[in-house]
Amino acid sequence: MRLAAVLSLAFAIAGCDVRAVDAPAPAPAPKPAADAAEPQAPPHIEEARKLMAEAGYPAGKGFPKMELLYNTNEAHKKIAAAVQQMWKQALGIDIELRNMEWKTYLEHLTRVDYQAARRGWVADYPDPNTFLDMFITKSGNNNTKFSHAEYDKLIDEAGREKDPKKRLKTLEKAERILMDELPVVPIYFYVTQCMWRRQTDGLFDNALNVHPLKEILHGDGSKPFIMNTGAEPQTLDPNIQRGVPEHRVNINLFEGLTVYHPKTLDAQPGVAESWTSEDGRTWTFKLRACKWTNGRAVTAGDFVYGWRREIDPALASDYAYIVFNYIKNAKEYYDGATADLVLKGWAETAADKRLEAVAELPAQVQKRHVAALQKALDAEKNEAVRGLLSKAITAAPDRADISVDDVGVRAADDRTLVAELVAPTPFFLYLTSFFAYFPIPKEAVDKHGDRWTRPENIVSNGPYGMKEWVPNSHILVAKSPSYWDAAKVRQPQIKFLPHDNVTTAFNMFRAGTCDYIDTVPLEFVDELKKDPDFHSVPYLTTYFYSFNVTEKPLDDRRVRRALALAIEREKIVEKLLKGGQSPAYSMVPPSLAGYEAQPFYVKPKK
Amino acid sequence: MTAADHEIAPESRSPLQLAMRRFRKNARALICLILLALTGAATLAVPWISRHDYRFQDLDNAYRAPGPGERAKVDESGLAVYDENGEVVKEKVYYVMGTDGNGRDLMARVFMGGRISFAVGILATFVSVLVGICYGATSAFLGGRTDTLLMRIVDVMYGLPHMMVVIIVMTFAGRSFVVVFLVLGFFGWLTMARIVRGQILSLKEREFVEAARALGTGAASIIFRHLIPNVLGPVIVYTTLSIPAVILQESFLSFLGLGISEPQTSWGVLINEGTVAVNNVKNLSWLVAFPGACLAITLFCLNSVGDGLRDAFDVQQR
Amino acid sequence: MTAFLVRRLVAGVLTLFAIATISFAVCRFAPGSPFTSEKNVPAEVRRNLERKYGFDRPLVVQYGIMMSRYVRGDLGESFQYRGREVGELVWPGFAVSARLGAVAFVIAMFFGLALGVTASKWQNQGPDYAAMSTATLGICVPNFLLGPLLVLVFHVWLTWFDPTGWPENWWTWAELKKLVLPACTLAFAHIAYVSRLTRAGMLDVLHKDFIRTARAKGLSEWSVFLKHGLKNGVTPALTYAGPMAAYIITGSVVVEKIFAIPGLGTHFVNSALNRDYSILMGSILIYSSLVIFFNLLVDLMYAVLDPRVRMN
Repeated sequence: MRLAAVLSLAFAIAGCDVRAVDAPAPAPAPKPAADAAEPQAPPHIEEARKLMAEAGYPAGKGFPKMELLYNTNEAHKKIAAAVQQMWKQALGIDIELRNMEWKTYLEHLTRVDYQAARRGWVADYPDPNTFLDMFITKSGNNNTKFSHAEYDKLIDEAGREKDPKKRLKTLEKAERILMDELPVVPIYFYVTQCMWRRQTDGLFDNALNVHPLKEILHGDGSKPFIMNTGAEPQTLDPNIQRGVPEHRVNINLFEGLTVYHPKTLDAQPGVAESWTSEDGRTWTFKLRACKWTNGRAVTAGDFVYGWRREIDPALASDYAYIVFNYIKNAKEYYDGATADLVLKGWAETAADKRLEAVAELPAQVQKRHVAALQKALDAEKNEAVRGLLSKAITAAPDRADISVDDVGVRAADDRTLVAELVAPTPFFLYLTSFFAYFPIPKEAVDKHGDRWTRPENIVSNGPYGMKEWVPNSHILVAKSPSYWDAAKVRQPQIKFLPHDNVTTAFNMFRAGTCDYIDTVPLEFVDELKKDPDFHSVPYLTTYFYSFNVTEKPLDDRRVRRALALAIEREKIVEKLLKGGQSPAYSMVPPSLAGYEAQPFYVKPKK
Repeated sequence: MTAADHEIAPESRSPLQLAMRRFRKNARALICLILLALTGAATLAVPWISRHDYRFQDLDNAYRAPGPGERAKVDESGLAVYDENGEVVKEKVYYVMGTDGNGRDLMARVFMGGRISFAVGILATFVSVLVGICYGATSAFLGGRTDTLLMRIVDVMYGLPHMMVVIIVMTFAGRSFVVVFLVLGFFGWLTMARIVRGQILSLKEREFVEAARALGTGAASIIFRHLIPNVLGPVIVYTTLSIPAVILQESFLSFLGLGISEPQTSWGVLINEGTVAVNNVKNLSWLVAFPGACLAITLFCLNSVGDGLRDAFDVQQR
Repeated sequence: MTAFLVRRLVAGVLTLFAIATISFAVCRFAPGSPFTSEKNVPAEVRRNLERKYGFDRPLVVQYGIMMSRYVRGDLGESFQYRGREVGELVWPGFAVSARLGAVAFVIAMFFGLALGVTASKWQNQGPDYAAMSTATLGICVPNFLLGPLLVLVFHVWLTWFDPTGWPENWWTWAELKKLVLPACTLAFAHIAYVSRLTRAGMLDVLHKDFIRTARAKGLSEWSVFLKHGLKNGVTPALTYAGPMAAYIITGSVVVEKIFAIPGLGTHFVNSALNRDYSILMGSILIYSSLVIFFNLLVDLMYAVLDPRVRMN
């Protein structure tokens, strides 16, 4: 083809046919014989190509520069490179890959300073809502500039719906909108890839990939069970922690109102012996008699303290949202307290930071802020800042002051906890097993401040108590004699290791110096599938690409759909990842009971 | 002049020519030089003439051992070609060095990576040599307090653990090719400055410079005709030895995940990707053997040539 | 002599000061904050956290506070690991890296000298070529390639040694075995340099006149070789000890990553990636101090050996 073009150009230049110089004649397309079959691309590629042409980029011509952002990681790199090529081969477009290390990547993601970016979302609880409510307009986890009024309405409606079937149907409608608009393109659903040996009794696969170790027994129990968590915990304070490695450790040190069954993920009694709720909005928990490691009884007050501490802006907890999205008045308290912070520190805030500081203020202020707002307005020169301050002043008087006591959780007595929710939440009992809802021992925090989780200071109430914590080396926990169900705890000691190198951890497991790892090197997965120590089940996590829907060319829905269709998910999953992952055509994984995931495309059966 | 004078008077040679003559006699260094030239030529030629583009992936061919295979066909604009059944059309190809995890031909990647490794090595060395010579020469010429101050600055910078600073800068400044070689060249100039300054200082006082001055030759003439040729020796040696050091540093960075980023590749990146071959589950040895061998051979040749040059320029050293 | 020492010490302190300043500048002007996280917290909440750690103060003030802390030996608090001090994270890491480095140093010196001496004794014969080939290999194979290869050979194929870990105690061979592969990986390149330098130094000395005199006097070959030759011939290798120590320190970053050793290098790389400035600065200062210290040692040795240097 190339040679023909060059030759015709040469002839055109050498000869007298001036016209041909501008447009070197391409080799003529072979005319199909009357009854020979036309070569045709598979239907999804055909549709993608058609959409691109409609959007104004036939065969990729004229497609503006686009960058795909991902954080440094072998797997992300491989997938991004594969997708880049798939888009080239299907649509003829050239995109650039941009690799950033974690913190820089987060900066760009949260500021939506990207065109396309790779993301992943781990379910916080086993319900479709966790995958969908992140895309409402005011969600802090949106990161795409996607804003759809109908979508917001449906999510809100679902949040207040009492009938579980109707609720799921409403969520399905919302997902339908999400998959029609495609601000995000799901790629695959994860599977767990853990390894543990047969001698370890009591470990089960579960879709959340975090294993409560209360009832395990490793061998005969004489040696500690050694688990690799994947990173050194940044903190073990339940109100500040945010990662999976910390979760793996803390789920054994502390216990919430409920715990989830290691296999079925059903909510089971934890500190709470029983609970009642008539309308699904107000829950009354009866606590059993159990103790902290320092001998004091666990009271309802400990839960109240813990939940309030979670939503204290001074702590800057990542998971505050999982409390204030569901507990009555928690969000209002959080907003008001945040506004308190802004106004208190106003005098010290540098002039160039003020605009950012007041951006959310109109939505956050409450009655008590009017005086401080007025003072700030009087002294402010900057027009934009003044505008926002005025808006805040207008909004403030209509909002009641919410103090921490108004937040919907209280101790009716030492052994009775009453929680009031924003709306009936079917997965609330699962939330109460989450670390953000753990009880916290006030006296330890008061006495030791930031250092209360050190081995010499920590006070906990779970099946295991901390014995040693050598940073970057290991955490050793031992069966806690003060635990209410200590009779059921069989394993005397557990050791947690913080190795983040997947190959290293894998080698350690093979050498016998580690008894549990939660990832394996990508390259060995298809060999390991035959290994009985390898455990793989669907994991409630979606890997997806996120688009900035306000920038050309991604502001056109057709372009987004074309890009989504052109990714050969089956190839990625079967040839690149090879772990048994499933291709994702919907945002919500298909394994959630009673919910029908809404795919953006259904492959026609051959 | 009588005929006798012609016979007796020896040919005069510059130190450079003498050194080249000695170098030519060093068989090992010569062979390595040729090998280097061949490798360099290969890195330019192979990706250009190879049927495989170093970025082209075919996931069906991931982790293939060296040997023949089939690859998806694409037309000129890069669009995939399908047949009547909607299946991708395949064509037969040969993978000389096998493929990597994305199904990319390893040979094209190894030689493309060689280009980047060489480029980084040469450019960074060029930067450090340029800066070093200017800095050292200026310091030597100015002399006195300025000289002391400039050398103190060099001492302070010597104290910086430079790999650490490189790691920090790479983390923060992003990973473009330009940043990589600038940052790696940034520390190379220190030794060069010291060497050049030392040489010039010792030469400044020598008789032939005095003589040239006495004859009224201008400063520029002194610099270019007398000083620079004498300084050139150590500079050339150091340059040749600095290139492998930089290539090694770049590989080190890539191993930590901080070096060259996609779509470019370098030997360090390839070796990093290849360490997955170290296992008892699957034999993937070609992934680490080929880039590793290329890196080792190149480093060996560069070091040999550097040693040869050093022997050639300095008769006293063994 | 004392004047020399004092001058160098003062220079060392000034260097550390400059390093701290440069590192501070690089950290503060870099994109990304230690407090950005995946789950979005409102900007003001994050800023409040930054306020807690003093980020809102003018840079000069922050710099002043940091320097006054360092002067008192307080390395500050970590931003990433809440409630932890930099010192308690960094010093144990340093202890681990130092021990690994010391073992590697000893291995490199011992085998380097042995190989070099052997090569010089049987110059241009079998042992010489063997030794020099090994040396060349050491220079050309980077430690991040060598490490995995050693693991492949000695653990995967031969199962002699463990691929990872750090000895829990130093009294049993079973635990000490864990050190072998990482220390060898770290030492290998330096064995190469030391052996080359030793060989060159020995050959240099062995051709000197006083050796010929000793032989002519009738002393045994071994006496000549060891008593007279060795003493003088190993000088070049010994002067490499300083730079070698510095390279071992920096080279340990990769070795720690490959063998999962909880040393200072791991902290350094992680803190750079996580923007934990206090740990980053703490580790840089420790590394710099070590480099300066060993450079000083080298200069001291030169001064002791060569009086001309002292006068300079």
